Amino acid sequence: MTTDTPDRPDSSPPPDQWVDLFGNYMYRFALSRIAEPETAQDLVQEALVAAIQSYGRFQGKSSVKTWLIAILKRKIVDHYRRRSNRQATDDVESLANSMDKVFNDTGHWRVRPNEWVTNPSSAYEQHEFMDVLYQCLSNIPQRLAEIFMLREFDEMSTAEICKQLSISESNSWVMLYRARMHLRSCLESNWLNDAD
Amino acid sequence: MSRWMINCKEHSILASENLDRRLSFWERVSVWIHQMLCPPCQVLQKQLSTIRAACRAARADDSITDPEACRLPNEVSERLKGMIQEIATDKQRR
Repeated sequence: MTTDTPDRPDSSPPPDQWVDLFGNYMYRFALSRIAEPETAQDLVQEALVAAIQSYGRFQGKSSVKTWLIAILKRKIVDHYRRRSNRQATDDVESLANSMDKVFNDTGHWRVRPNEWVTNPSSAYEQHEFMDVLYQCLSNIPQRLAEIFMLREFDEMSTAEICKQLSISESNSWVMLYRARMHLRSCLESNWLNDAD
Repeated sequence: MSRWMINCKEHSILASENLDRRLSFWERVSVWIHQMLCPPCQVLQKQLSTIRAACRAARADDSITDPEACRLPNEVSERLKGMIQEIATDKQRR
């Protein structure tokens, strides 16, 4: 197997065991988001290829399983992006302008956020929520989605993200802020409306 | 206006940054006071926490109840194993 094994705990299972150990779990995860078995299998394959190619950078901060699922989540977002057939817009500025509609000139809400009445024990609601979340994530500019996924899927610190993307820390906070505000507004209009 | 009185927009920025860095003492006081006085911003705070929790969850949901339906077919498992082996060998060769 690969020789580039940096600071990983010795207990991390090597890539040749991933399919046996995590294949079914990854498939089940993909299938819970994408109902088509063949597409789910393709996404598992894409995630495994991406994982083995970046295994040299895996530092063992999370378990291999959690790391593989984080990569799979990115592939799911990519899938939604491809399916919606939208050009991967990089128009972060127009998103920033649309944010101005959220608050008025004195910095108060134009449209107040609604309380999300979720029942965490309801698998159905969780499922619906996650569906909309992935779709919303696939609709925001690629640069914002990328930084958001590094922070929330890969759980990287902003310092690590800045190093990887060569941006300043304050820039990363602004981008994460825009991504989150867009997601919450998208979730509110799509998920809650659908639930009515 | 005192320095810990912030508006909703400023609060939203700090509520997001609170997920990425440790806020200063005065920033935390500002957020706390604002939230005490502003129910919509309490809602925002909950929404941001919900989004983080949902994204970080690594559990498949329980909507699939048939255990056989969520097992990778054997031929797919074998193909994936072969593929991993191939990539690993290729990497070693380089």
